[in-house]
Amino acid sequence: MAAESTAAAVAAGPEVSAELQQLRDGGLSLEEYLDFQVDRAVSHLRGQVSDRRLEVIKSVLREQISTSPALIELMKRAGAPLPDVGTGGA
Amino acid sequence: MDLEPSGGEPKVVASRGADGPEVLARFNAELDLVDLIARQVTKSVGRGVEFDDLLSAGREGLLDAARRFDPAKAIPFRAYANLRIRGAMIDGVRRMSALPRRAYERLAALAAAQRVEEGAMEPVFANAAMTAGEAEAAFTDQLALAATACALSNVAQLVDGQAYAAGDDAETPEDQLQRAELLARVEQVLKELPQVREATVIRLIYFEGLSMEAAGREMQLDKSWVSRLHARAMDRLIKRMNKLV
Repeated sequence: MAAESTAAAVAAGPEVSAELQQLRDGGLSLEEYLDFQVDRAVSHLRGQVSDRRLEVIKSVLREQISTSPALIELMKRAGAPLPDVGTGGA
Repeated sequence: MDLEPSGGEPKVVASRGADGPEVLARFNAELDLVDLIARQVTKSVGRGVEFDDLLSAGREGLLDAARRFDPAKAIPFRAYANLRIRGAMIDGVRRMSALPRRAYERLAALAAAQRVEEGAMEPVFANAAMTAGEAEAAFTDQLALAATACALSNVAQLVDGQAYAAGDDAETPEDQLQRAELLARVEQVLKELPQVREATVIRLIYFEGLSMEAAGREMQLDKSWVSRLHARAMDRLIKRMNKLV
């Protein structure tokens, strides 16, 4: 059992973010995880575009990733909850 | 293959010509995506967009995806269709006239994010052995790249080489100033890029408002090569911008 747990942890990769780990453990919702990801994605733009523009970018990204196949693929590989939309397979 | 007229149940009602049963099956299996993505695009772009027009463009995009899909490639059909449907809706909105300036601004940002997602999709699906950590890193990088693309999508105020329609929601002085400053910073970074072609791709796409295909034609390169140059140049831009924050 212990060996299986270790193998699973190695397969999942030790380098997932603390937030993804929290999502797996149920400590964070998918919505909160996506908000965190979007905030991080725009960090290099703070002070370089207006606050209004930054909000536009964040909202466009947030909407887009909610149905992103890349997100669904990430959730599948991480064993995290899938978004309730667009989760069909091939 | 024909689509039932707008307003009816949106499913393929007749098949003729070269479309085989597998095309019809793919189309009908993923129809829910059209509605889903139409809602998302409506929310992203905001006022000035007709939901029924999005549905119509999205169904055309889905049909096109069902016809063009290559099962030999690593990308599942639903993921491929997702991109084609959204792309068709973005193109459909672009063709509409007299959109408010802010709707164009959001549309340009959405198109830029879409462009990034298209380029990032295949590596994710092609690498079945990718760990969760690697997949998350790829997803994080993709988002940062998309955010930068969104920011640049507004610098020239162009969509497909055409200026925004005049509207009653004029750009604020703060937006104008920060846009000009961002443009100057990006110009400076472009001058320092090691490859002239990387800078050219960025200029054609973001300063002249060309699509990736059109930029490729201009540079006599295929789309995948332009996509790689774009990703590399954007990565360098992000690194430079990170140093400025």
